[in-house]
Amino acid sequence: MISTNSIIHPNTANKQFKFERYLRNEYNFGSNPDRPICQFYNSYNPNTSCPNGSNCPNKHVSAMYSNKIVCKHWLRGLCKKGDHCEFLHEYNLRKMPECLFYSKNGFCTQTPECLYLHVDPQSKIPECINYSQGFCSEGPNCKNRHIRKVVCPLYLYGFCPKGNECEYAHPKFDFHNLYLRIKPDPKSINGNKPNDENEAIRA
Amino acid sequence: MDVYNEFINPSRINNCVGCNFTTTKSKQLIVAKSSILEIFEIIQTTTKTSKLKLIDQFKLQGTITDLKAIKTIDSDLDYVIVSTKFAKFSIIKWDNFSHTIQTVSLHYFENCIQNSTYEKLGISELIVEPTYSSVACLRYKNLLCFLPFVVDIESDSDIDEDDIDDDNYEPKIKERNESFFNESFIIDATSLDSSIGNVIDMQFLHNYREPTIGILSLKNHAWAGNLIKNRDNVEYHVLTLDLQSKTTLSVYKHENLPYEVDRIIPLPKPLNGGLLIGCNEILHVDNGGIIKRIALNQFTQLTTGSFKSYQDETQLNLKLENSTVVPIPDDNRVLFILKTGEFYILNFEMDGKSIKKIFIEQVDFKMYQNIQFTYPGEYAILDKNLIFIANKNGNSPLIQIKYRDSLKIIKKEDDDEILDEEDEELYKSEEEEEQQHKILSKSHIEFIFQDSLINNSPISSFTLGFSSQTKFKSNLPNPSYKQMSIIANAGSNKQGKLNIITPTIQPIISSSLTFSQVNRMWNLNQKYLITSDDVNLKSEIFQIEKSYSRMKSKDFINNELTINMHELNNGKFILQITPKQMQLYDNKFKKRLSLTSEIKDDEILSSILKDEFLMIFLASGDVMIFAINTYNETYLKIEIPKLLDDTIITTGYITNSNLLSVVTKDVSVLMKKRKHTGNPVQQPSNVSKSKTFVLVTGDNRIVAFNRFHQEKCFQLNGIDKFMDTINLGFFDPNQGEINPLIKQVLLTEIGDKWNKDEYLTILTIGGEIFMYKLYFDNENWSFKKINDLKITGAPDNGFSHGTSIERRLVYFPNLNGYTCIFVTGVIPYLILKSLHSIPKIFQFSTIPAVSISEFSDSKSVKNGLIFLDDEQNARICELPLDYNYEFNLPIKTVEIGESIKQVVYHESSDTVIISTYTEIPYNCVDEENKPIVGTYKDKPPANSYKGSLKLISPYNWTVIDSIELKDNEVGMSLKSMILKIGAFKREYIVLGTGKYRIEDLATNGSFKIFEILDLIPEPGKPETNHKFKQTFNEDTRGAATSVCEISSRFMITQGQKIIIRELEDDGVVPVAFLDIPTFVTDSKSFGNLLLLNDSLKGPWLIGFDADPYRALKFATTGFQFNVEVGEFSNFKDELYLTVGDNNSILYTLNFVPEESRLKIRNSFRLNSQITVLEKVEFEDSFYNIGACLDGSFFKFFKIHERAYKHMYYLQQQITSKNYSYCGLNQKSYRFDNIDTKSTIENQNPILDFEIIKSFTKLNDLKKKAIAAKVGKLADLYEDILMIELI
Repeated sequence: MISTNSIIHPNTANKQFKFERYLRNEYNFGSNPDRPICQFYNSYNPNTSCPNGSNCPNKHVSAMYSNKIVCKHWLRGLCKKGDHCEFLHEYNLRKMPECLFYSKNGFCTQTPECLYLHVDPQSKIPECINYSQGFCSEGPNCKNRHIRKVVCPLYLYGFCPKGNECEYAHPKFDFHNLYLRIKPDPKSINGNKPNDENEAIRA
Repeated sequence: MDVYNEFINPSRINNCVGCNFTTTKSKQLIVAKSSILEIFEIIQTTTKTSKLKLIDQFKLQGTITDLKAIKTIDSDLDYVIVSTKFAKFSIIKWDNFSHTIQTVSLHYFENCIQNSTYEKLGISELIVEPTYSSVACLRYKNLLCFLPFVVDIESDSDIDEDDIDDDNYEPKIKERNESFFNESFIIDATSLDSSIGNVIDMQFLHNYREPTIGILSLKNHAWAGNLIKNRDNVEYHVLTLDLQSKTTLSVYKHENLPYEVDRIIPLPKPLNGGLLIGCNEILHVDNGGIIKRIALNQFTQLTTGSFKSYQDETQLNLKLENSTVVPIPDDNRVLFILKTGEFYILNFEMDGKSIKKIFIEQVDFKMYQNIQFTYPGEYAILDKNLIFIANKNGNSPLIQIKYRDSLKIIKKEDDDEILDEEDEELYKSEEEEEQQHKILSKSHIEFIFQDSLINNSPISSFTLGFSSQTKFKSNLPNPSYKQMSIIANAGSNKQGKLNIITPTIQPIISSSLTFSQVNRMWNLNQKYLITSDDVNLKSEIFQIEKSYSRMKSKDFINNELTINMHELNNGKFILQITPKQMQLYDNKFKKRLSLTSEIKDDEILSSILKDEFLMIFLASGDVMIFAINTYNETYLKIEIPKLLDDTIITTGYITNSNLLSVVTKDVSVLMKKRKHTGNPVQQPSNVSKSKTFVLVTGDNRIVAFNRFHQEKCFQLNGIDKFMDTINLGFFDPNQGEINPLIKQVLLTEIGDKWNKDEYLTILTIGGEIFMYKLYFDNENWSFKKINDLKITGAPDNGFSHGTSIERRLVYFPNLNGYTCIFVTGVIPYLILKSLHSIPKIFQFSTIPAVSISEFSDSKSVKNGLIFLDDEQNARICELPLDYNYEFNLPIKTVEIGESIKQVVYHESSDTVIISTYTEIPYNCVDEENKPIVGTYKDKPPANSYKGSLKLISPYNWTVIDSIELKDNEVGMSLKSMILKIGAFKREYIVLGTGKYRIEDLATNGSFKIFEILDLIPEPGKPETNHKFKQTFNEDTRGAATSVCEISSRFMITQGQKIIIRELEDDGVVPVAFLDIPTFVTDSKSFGNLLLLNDSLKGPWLIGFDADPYRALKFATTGFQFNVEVGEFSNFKDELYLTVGDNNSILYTLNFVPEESRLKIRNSFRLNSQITVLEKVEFEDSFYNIGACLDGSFFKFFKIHERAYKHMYYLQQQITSKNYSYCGLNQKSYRFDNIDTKSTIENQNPILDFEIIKSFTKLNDLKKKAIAAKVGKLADLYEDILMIELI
C-alpha cells in the first residue's frame, strides 16, 4: 500500500453529509460505493425484508440488477421504467456478453462504441505456473502466458502477514502437480516407455 | 460564512501609461494590474541601465479597464484617468504632501448606459483627445459618453509666440474650482453621422485644431455566406466634434474597406493621420484623407475586392492579430510587435510634410536580443527613448531605443557634453537638433533590454507538491522538509514557464552546529563565535576557523550572560556587554578598556552600536551614549538633550539618516502652517545624511536628535497611535501614560543591490511590525505607513503563541545582495524589499529562530547568515537568489519554452508532470489522408497544435523524460490518481487528449494511463531516476476533455458521455456511464460524488455507486450557467460547491436534494476569469484554492458563524468609514451587476480578507472606534489571525 499526503491526494471518502439520509431513501445511495450488500434484503420483498428499511447502511440491490440483458432504451437515456424494468440498467462491461465478432476476428468494426465485451485473446491463455514459480524452461516458446511479477520475499521465507493484500506475487509451489499431471503417451511406442517414466520421475 | 483571501496579487499588466505624474522632470510609468495601480519611476543604475523603481502601489476597489493621462495647468503635473469596470472613471492626481494619490473627480456612467441598452453591461473603452486633452470619451459599443474639459484658450496666444516645434505647445486645462470639466453628455454614434453603423473602433486623431475622431464602423456584417458579395463593408469616418453644439463636421470618409479592419492607431507628429489595421493588411490614412494600403500576406486578396490598389508585400507573410503597434516617438517609423514577438518596422518616406511611400521591413533579430514578447499589450512612452511594453503572456520589458549609426553616436556624445556644461545650450541648438533628427530617421534602431516586470499569468493549471523531500540537511532536520508548495504554470509559447511558490523562504543550508545550551550568539568578523547561555549565566568563545574549538581568555567575562557583542574599528576591537559590565577587548580578547563604572548600580537591558557610538539602555529607563575612541582607547560620554532628562527611554537606534537634514538647518519649517498642494515632487536640496539618534520613550513616542544636537530634539508626531503619515515636530516634554508598546525600532535603509530606501521599522510588544517609508514632501521629511504587510502579531498579547520566543529585529546590511531585516521568533520573518515592490515580510522558516548573526566563510557561504533554533541547533545558510521576492510569497521560475496546459505532481516518485503543446502547421487531410476539397494549397497553412507530456525532476527542474503525442493531439486533462488495481492502490497518471482537426472532421480523443518507473540514474545525472511507462491507451469518440478520480476508479468525459472505468491487471473495464450535455471543461470528485462543469449548461452533481454500478444525476442549476471550473468544499456536515463562470464571478452553490437543484448561495466578482480551483484539507474540512487568468491566487474558505459575524461588521465599518482610492465602492465592485437568474439568499455575503486585513494597519484611534462598535479588539485579532493562518 502506498502512503499519500492528505493535501496532494485528499482523502474525501466516507464524509457524512446532511443530505445523505435523503439520498439513501430516494436513490438507495450511500457515501461508500464499496459498502457491503445487505444480507436481509430480498429484492422480491423490498418493503419488509430488511428491518432497517430504507435507512439500512448496506446496499439494497434491486431485482432489476439480476436481469441479464441490458435495456436498449436505457442506454439511450429513454427508459422510463426505472427499477421496474425487466431489462438491466447497468453498463458494466464485465457483465456484458462477449462480442462474438471480436472473439472470432480479433477486431471489431464498432471498436470504440461496441457495447459487448472485448476479451483480449491474450487473457484467455492460462498463466504459466512454472514462470510464476521462478523459471520456465520453454522460454518464449511457452504456450502459456508469462506474467511478470515480483515474488514476495516474505512469502518465500514462509509467511507474509499481508496475505492476499500483498502487492507482490505469492506463487503456489505445489510440486505434486508435476507428478500427477496426466500426460499423453509418448509417440514412439517401441520400448522407450520405461525411460520416459524415469525422466518424469526425475523432473 | 465565506471569506475570500487573495494571497498572490495579479501580475498581468492590462494597462500602462507614461506621464509626468509626480514630477515634471521625468516621466513616471503607471501600470494597472487588474485592481492594483502601481507607480514606477526610472532610476539609473551604476551600469548605465535604466531600472523601474516602485514609488507606491494602491489596491483599488474595482477592476481597471483603462488608464489615460491628461494635462493640467494647475500644477504642471499630469492627471490620470482611471477607468474601472463598469463604465466609470476617476480622475486622480499625486498628492505629494501625504505621498499618495488623490481623487479629483468621479464620473459614473454605469447606470445611464445600462438604462439605455438591453444588454448586460460589458467592458467599456476610454479614449482621450491627445493633442489638447480637451475631451475624454467613454465608449460602450455605440454609446459615447463625452466629458469635455475646459481648455484654456487665452494661453493659446502666448504659446503662439513660442516655437511651434516646442514640445510644450499644448494648451493646458484650466482648473477652476471643480470645474475643469464641463457637463458630460451621452450620444449614440449613429447620431454623429447618419452613415455610421455599428462602431468597431473609435480613436481621437492627433494634431487637429478641434477634437477630431476617427470611427471604424459597419452596417452589414460579413460572414462566410455573403463574403463574396459583402467583403468590403467597413467604413472609416473622420469627424470633427463641436462640443458646444454637440454636432459633428465630416472631414472625410472612406467606404469599402475590408471586413477585417478592426483597429485605428492614431499617429502623432511627425506622421499624423491614422493607421487602420486588419490582420492581413495595413492602411494608412493621412490627415488629408489620402489612403495607402499594404497587403501583408496571401490572404489579403481573399478579404478585399480591390486588391490591385494594395502595395504587395505578401512575401512577408505577416499576421497582425494581437500585435502591438508603437509609433516611435519623434520618428517617422512605426514599430509592429507581432503576437509571437517578432519586430517589424513600418517606414514612411517623407517629402516635406506629405508622405511619399510607406513600406514595411523586418527588424534583424540581433537588434532586439533578450526581448521576448508573447501577445504584447499596451505600451507607455517614457523619457530618454525608453518604452515600456506590457506583455500579456510573459514578463513586460522596459526597452531603450538606441539609434545605431556610428556618425550619430559621436555627435550625440558631443551633445551630451554640452548638456552637462550648460543646460540652456540644448535649447539654443534647436536647428542642430533638427538636423540630427534627419540622420536619426535613417539610422538603424537597436532595442536594448533594460528591465522587466514579472508576470505570472496566465495560469491554466497548478498543483500542490512538496518543495523538498530531503529529510535531513547537514545532519539536522531540514526545515523545509515536505513543505507544501504550489507549482503553477505561467506564460505561453516560447515564454512558457513553471512557477514554484513556496510558503517560506527556502534557505540553502550549507553546514550546521549543535550546542548543549545557548540562547544567543554572535559572529565576530568570521573569527569568533560568541555564545551566551541565559539559563546558566555563561558566555563562551569559539574559534570559527579552528573548527569551532573553545577559546580561553582570562579577561572575557565567562560567568555572566552576554547581552550584546559589538565590533569596533573593523573588528580590531571587541566590546562585550553584560547586564553589569561593559568591556572592550582587542581582537585577541585582551582587555583594553572598561566602561563598567558608568552604569553604577543599574542594569543594562540592551545596547546598540553604530560606528564609534554606543548607546545603552538601562533598567531605570535611562539611556547613555558613548563615543568610543579605539585609537587612544578612551571614551567620551555624549550628553542627550536636557529635555529628555526626565523621560523614560525604553529603546532606540543610531543611524545615518536624512530625517533631520532639513530641520537642523531651519526649524521654521515646523512652525509654518502647511497646505496641501499638488506641487510636483522636488528633490531635496542637500542629501547629506547625518548621524541621528532615535529614542523611544515610555509613552511610545519616538524622539530623534543629532550627534551635535545643541539641545534640539524632535519627535515623530502621532507615532504612538501609528498614524498613516507622520511628520516631525518639536519634542513635547509632557509625558503621557507610561505603557510601553514599542519593543524595538530601526531606522534603516532597506532594499536590494539596485536601490535602497530609508524605512522606519517598529516592532511592538505584541509582535506586530509597522513600517514607515521616509519621503520628502518638498519641505521636510515625513513618514508614510506601508499598509500592505503581513500580520505578524496582535496587540495586548492577542497572539501569545507568536511571541513565546522573543521577537527581535536584526538588521542585515548585505544578505546575499539584499539589505533587509530579520525578525526572530517562533515564526521567524525576513523583511525584504526589491526594486519592483514595496517591502514584503516573508516567513523565513518553519522552525523557530532564537538568535541570528551574519556569516560568511571563505568556502561556500558569502554574506549568509547563521541562525539558532529553539533546540540549540545552529544552521549556516544563504538566501536563495533564484527565487523572486516581489510577491507575497517567494516564487521560483523555471523556463520551459512551450505552452503548458496542465501541471501535476506525482507524489510517490516526487516528480512533476506537465502537458505542453507547440504550434505546428496544420495539414488539412481527411481520415484517409486525402486533402480536403477547398483548401488553398498555395497559401500558408493554418496553425494546429501538437502536445507532449514531460516528466520533470524537482532536483534541478530539468525534463528527464518526454512523450510526444501525435500531430493535432493535445493533452487536455492530466491528473495524478490513486487507483485501485485488484486489491491494491497505486498512483497513476491519467491523461485525456483531444485530436482537433477542421470542423468537417469529428473531434476524437484518447486517454492514456502512465506509471512512473524508478530507474538507476545515468552517471553524473542524479535527477534522471524516473521515466514514463504507458500502461494503457484507448481511443475515444469525442475528445477526452476531463479526467477525474472517483472512489479509486477513474472517470473520463469523452464527447457527450462520461464513462467510469476500473483498472485491472490487464487493462480497464468500463463500469458505468452517463450522458452529459455539451462540453465539460472541468470535473471534480468528493468521495463518490462527482461535479461536472459544463461550459454551456452549468454544473451537474452526480453520484456514483458500485456493484451494481450506477451513475446517478442528482442535481443541476436548472438554467444556463457558463461555468468554467468548480470544486467541492465542506464545512462540518454541509457540502458546498464553489464554481467560477466565464464572467469572472465566483459562486457558491448548495445542494438541495429534495428539488434536485443546485442553488446559488452567494456570488462574488473577481478581477479576471478563474481558471483553476482545487480543494485543500484543513482541520477536517476542505477549503478551496483558486487561480485566475491574471496571475493571482486566492483562498476561499468558510469560517464559524461567530467569527463571520465579527468580520462582517468589521468589513462594513471599514468600507463605510474609510477612504477608498479613486472613490470606488467595494459593494459595487464585488456584488453589483451580477446576473444570477435564480434567487439568491444573499444574507451572508462573501467577505474580502483584503479589507479585513487592512484593519490591523489602521491607526489606533480608528481601530478603537471600530472595535467599540464591533467587539473586543483582542477577539477581532484572534479571528483575523485565524483566517490568516488558514
